[in-house]
Amino acid sequence: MTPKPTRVVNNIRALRSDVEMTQAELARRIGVTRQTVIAIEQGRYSPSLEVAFQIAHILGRRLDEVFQYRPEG
Amino acid sequence: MSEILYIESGAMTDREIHLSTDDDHVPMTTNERAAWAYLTSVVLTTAGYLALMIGRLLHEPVAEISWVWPLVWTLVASVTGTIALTIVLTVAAIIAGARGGAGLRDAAAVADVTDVRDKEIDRRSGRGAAVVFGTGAGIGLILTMIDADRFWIGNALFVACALGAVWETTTKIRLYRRGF
Repeated sequence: MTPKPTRVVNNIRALRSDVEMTQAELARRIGVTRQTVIAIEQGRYSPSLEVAFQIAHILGRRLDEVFQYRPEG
Repeated sequence: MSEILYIESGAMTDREIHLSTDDDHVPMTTNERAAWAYLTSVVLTTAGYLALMIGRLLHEPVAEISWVWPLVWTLVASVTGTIALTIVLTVAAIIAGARGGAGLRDAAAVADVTDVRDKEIDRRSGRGAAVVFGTGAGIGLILTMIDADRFWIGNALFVACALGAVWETTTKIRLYRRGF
């Protein structure tokens, strides 16, 4: 499997599940495509700080509850 | 599978009904479709043109080779091919979206959206392509300085543009597929 290009990991999928929100709904609310939400969830794209805060706000969580940084090693 | 099918089957809970849409087919973004169309068109038309020129190079002196109109038609074919392929891929994406349960209007709207990730990918892929274009322009300048035949100057610039386009589109596709 190809290693993820970012060390930023997230719990968006699980948190969406908690609030019963689809990828399409989250994408619509933050103003991006569903493909971008999928890329963020799979760790293939690190969103900007603003988008990250938007996601946390929409999911009703703190930023560090949604995103974590995993340093190398 | 659409939400309606899950509801009718009665096989899933309400929460699963919501999240089932996450597994729906996701079409490529507008930008990725355009990159595939551009790459396909450029590779096919450039390969055809280069095959024609290599054939002529083997049988005619460089100064007598007719290359201007074949090059013009190659550029026209490349542009029209890109437009036609983009339209075909977009229509296919809309039809796939409509079959997946979205209304035709919603599917069309979804199939024609770009966002911040698309812009970032455009910016990153454009940087590398600019280096290729610049190198090609430099080679064209050197060929002009040494009084090379116009055939070599024109074709060096054309090949540089084609390579730049291939670099840009393959970079885009890689960034969409593997991430960054």
